[in-house]
Amino acid sequence: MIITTTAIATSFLITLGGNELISDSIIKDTSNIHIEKSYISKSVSFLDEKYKKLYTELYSYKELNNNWDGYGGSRPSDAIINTAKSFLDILKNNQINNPKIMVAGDGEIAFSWKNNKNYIEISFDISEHLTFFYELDKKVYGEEDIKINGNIPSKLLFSFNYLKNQISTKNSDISLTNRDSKPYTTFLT
Amino acid sequence: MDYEELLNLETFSHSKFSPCIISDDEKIARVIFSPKQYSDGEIHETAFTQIFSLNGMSVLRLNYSFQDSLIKTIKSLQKDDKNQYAGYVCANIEDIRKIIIDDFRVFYILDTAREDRVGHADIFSIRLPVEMGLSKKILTKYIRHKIAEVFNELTLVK
Repeated sequence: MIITTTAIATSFLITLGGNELISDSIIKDTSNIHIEKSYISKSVSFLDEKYKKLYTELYSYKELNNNWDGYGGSRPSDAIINTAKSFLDILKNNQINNPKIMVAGDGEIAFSWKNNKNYIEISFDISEHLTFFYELDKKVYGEEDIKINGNIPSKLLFSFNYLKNQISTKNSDISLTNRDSKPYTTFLT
Repeated sequence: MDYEELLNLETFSHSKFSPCIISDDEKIARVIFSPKQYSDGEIHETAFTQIFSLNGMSVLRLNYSFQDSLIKTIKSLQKDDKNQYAGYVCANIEDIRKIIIDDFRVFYILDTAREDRVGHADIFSIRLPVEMGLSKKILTKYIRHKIAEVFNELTLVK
């Protein structure tokens, strides 16, 4: 069965790494982009599995000892772990592709995404706040200590869409545009 | 010290045990003590947070008694069973020195040899006179990402 959607930004899964699945499942016609229902359920389940591992890794930081990194590192506070968890929930709910999760010796937790020379990083070192930066096509932008309010900051969301489109346009068989996104140059200037 | 003075520190030895100053064609290794610091064959950016400390980030030169220095480093840092030696990650000196923002180098590397580890060195970050329009905090994270990019040869314990 085939369903039609115009909300490409969400139903396209905003997946940054699954372009092979996309090319198998998306059928293009002159007016709409159709996504097979089976593709959506498979992809969501795939993403759920990835996020499960991330939550497990995140909670494992509670078990870190002092000097866990050999250089005097301390474990992240419960407040920082909870803050990272709350934003991981937001990413998952928005079906953003799973990030890499990292921990620093000063107790910071960070998520990152990478594609060739493009890079996005979100970090948590203050309770209920996040800092992010991205480098996209050699242009760098960032915002610090933003209060987490249940949404993805607009420029961060832009960077996810940008990275997603970088991957999808590599496949010449499909041509996708995000109708909701603004021109990238607007964000990069 | 200003920018030029910091770079000038690379031109002479900083220890009587030093075999020689560090040249561009050398490699250095950062020892890793936790599997939390890498995944999918790549070192994490957060593993380089210490590079911004006043004491710099300790590394070992591959050309000078590396295996012996590695064993001694593991012994000295893995002393309470609360961390776990995982391996080391290497970078070319030239690549580190080529990290440049707005015509300014971001790191300098000093040969800080020790009696028991002649290949010991430290990498220090330079406080840049430019900010690329970024806050200090974000610039720091961006620079951390740049140093992680050049430490791209990960050797893990089997």
